[in-house]
Amino acid sequence: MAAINWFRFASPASFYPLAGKLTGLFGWVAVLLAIAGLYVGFVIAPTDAQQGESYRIIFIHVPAAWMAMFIYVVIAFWSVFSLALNARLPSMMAQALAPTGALFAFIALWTGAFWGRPTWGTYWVWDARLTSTLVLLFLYLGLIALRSGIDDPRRADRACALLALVGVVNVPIIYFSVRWWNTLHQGATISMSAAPKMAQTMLTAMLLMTFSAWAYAIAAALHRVRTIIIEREALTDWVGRLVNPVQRQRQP
Amino acid sequence: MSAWLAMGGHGFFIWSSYGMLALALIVEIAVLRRSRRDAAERARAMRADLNQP
Repeated sequence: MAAINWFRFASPASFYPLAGKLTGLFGWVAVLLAIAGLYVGFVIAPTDAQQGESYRIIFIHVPAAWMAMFIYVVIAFWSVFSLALNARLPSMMAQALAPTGALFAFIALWTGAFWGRPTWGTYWVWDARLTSTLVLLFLYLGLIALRSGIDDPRRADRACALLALVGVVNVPIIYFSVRWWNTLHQGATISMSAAPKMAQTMLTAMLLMTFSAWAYAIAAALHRVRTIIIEREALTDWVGRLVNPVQRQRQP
Repeated sequence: MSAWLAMGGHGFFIWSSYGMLALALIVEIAVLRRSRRDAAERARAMRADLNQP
């Protein structure tokens, strides 16, 4: 392991084939974990004493909400890198993560609505947790829109990095909203400081689905970053060899 | 089977949630594949323009 020069992968040309291998690997890991999680969640986990069957939405709601917050923090991390080092790959990673983050934010809101209806009697309330998560979705959409509104990719990188860093303040607001304000949304089910307030099989299913969501997000972001590399490095020789039908050795 | 799908009266809420997730994943994967093809196509076209005398 020590012989690997990790900085080599900071160059898009050497990162491209590595990302390709990892995309497939993480994609399959996501599928297998999702099958295991759904099996435990729907076949093994018992009916909830208070909520009946509707609680089974938790197996996608909580992983989606966690991923929506976590991906935004990762985007902010890559944004710091791209601003500090003025490097290409960190900006591309930040760009590649935004649509998948938006997807998870949307799924967290959607599944929350369909869980709220049978449990709270309403699809939506302007509650601190729900509203701040909606703001998170708008931040993701803002990042995507800002990028598509600026033609020069390097200017777009800097603008998006700044927006990502300003917006990251929303993530702790979402996380602590259930403690700071009286909200309809329940408090944290899992926390670092207390034992989980749920049955073991329910927790197992939720964690399997969470790891599946992680693997999926990694696979989707790596797939997207390779497309971004092709777009932004289109005039380099190595991309030319990659996409040229005469010299091509494998599909890009 | 239909009793299982009914989920004790909560079937509509559960399957609306899981259905939207499935739809979102299918759409994202389709868009990912399509944009890869389009990007490669554009890169090829740019190379072809570049190689014109």
